[in-house]
Amino acid sequence: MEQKLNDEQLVRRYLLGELPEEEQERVERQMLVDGDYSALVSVLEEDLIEDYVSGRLGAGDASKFERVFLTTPEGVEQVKLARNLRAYALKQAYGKSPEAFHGDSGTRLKPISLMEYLRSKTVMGRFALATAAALVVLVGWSLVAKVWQRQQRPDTIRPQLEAQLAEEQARNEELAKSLQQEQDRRARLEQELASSKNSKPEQPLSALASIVLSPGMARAGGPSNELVIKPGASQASFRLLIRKTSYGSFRASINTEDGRRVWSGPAHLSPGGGEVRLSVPVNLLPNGKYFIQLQGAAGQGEYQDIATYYFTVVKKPPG
Amino acid sequence: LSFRANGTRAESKVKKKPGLTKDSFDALLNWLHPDREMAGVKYEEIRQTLIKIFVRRGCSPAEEMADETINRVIGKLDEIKGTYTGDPALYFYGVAQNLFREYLRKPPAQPYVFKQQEPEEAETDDECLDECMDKLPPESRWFIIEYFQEDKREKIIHRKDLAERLGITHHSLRMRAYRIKAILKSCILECRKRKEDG
Repeated sequence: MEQKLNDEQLVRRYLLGELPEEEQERVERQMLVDGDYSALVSVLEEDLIEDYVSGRLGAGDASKFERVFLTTPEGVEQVKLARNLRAYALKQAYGKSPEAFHGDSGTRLKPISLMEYLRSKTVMGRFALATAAALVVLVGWSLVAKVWQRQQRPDTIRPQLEAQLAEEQARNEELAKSLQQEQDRRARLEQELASSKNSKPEQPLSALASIVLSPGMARAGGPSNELVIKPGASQASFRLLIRKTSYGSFRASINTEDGRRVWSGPAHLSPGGGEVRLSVPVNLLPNGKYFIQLQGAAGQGEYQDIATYYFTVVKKPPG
Repeated sequence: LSFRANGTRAESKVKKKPGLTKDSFDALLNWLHPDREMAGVKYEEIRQTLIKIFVRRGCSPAEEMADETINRVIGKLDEIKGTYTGDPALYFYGVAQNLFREYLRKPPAQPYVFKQQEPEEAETDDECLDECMDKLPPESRWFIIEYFQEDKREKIIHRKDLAERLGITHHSLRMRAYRIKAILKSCILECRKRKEDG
């Protein structure tokens, strides 16, 4: 088993063009005289191609792969077949019932919890809310302490304490008012969030082109997966629908339909779950067909594939 | 000469290369193996492996270079068949090495440039894939769809489960996928050619 594993690693290095000439010749001679070995090389080659089209190769290996496989028509054909087969299989699995893939839509549309709300706020917003809450607690505790002290002290200091108490009560009311304002703002945000999830399609700003994609759908293209980029747009925003997931963090890569990676980077789960978002400069996306490979962090630096999304970029000419 | 290629159900044909006589081609097959059927299998294995080797070395077009290697071996056959010892496949390798050095010294005037697929080509590919998948036996179609469902879970775990469900080893599972893909590839190439020819 160990020997076999070593062989597989050796073959993989051969396929990526990493072997020194002498070892490369050893592999090639063996391929010619041993049909089983040749079959093993072919099988591992298919594995490697699958890893490439599904975005499982690291950046270094992907680059080596492209140097070897995308420089001959035969290599490109192999990659194309693997990509099409994969897309076909995913379409068969998910294409007929996308709603099943989206999981529990009620979960996505339910009002967000306080913790989710806190997570969704900006750093400044979270700081303001936390400060207000901490002060309320502090003042409340201070009042309790003062009342307790008042009970312990002689009546001579009572007027002084009452004055202090009144002052602190006023401050407390002011802080409570701030907290109420913050809570009102939260309610407004929740309402906006819920209404945008329920019906309103994302309104593209002039500098933003946006699209919502379902996994594995519309490989052949169509209006539903066209990202229309108007003149002046600088960023493309993607909302990738996903099933309920336990992954804590995500990354994605955008690839041309022939498997060339044009962008990779982090992607972020929406506050309500149900979709992952990413933003990409539009200058990386000329007209053409693309697919996005979404991955989730599985721990220890490992990522697992979650889903593939297909889309077509259509750039509108100025005027 | 037609035969089943190396255990797959793909039907392959040994094609005589332009400029070769039937006698010289027969002589090559005789040199490879006394049994004509086995000789055909051996010939096709050597040719496919040579193509793979040239592809891995970035030679384009690899298929033509593999055929040129075979032509050169045939040209030398009278000289070597009485004296050469060992597996004939290794003689092909020596000739392929020489051809590769020539390639490096004089690369093609118009090297292959990767280009985006035209929408019409992509559409044809999609149609051909659908057509070829439909031609597969139901169990093969089910298998290949299931094999590629690794998005559901991690690939290794998914395929281990699939192998267990089918009662076969992981290696057999990969071989089965490889063979079905080979059938599909051949079918798609034929389909594409048919559509291009109108």
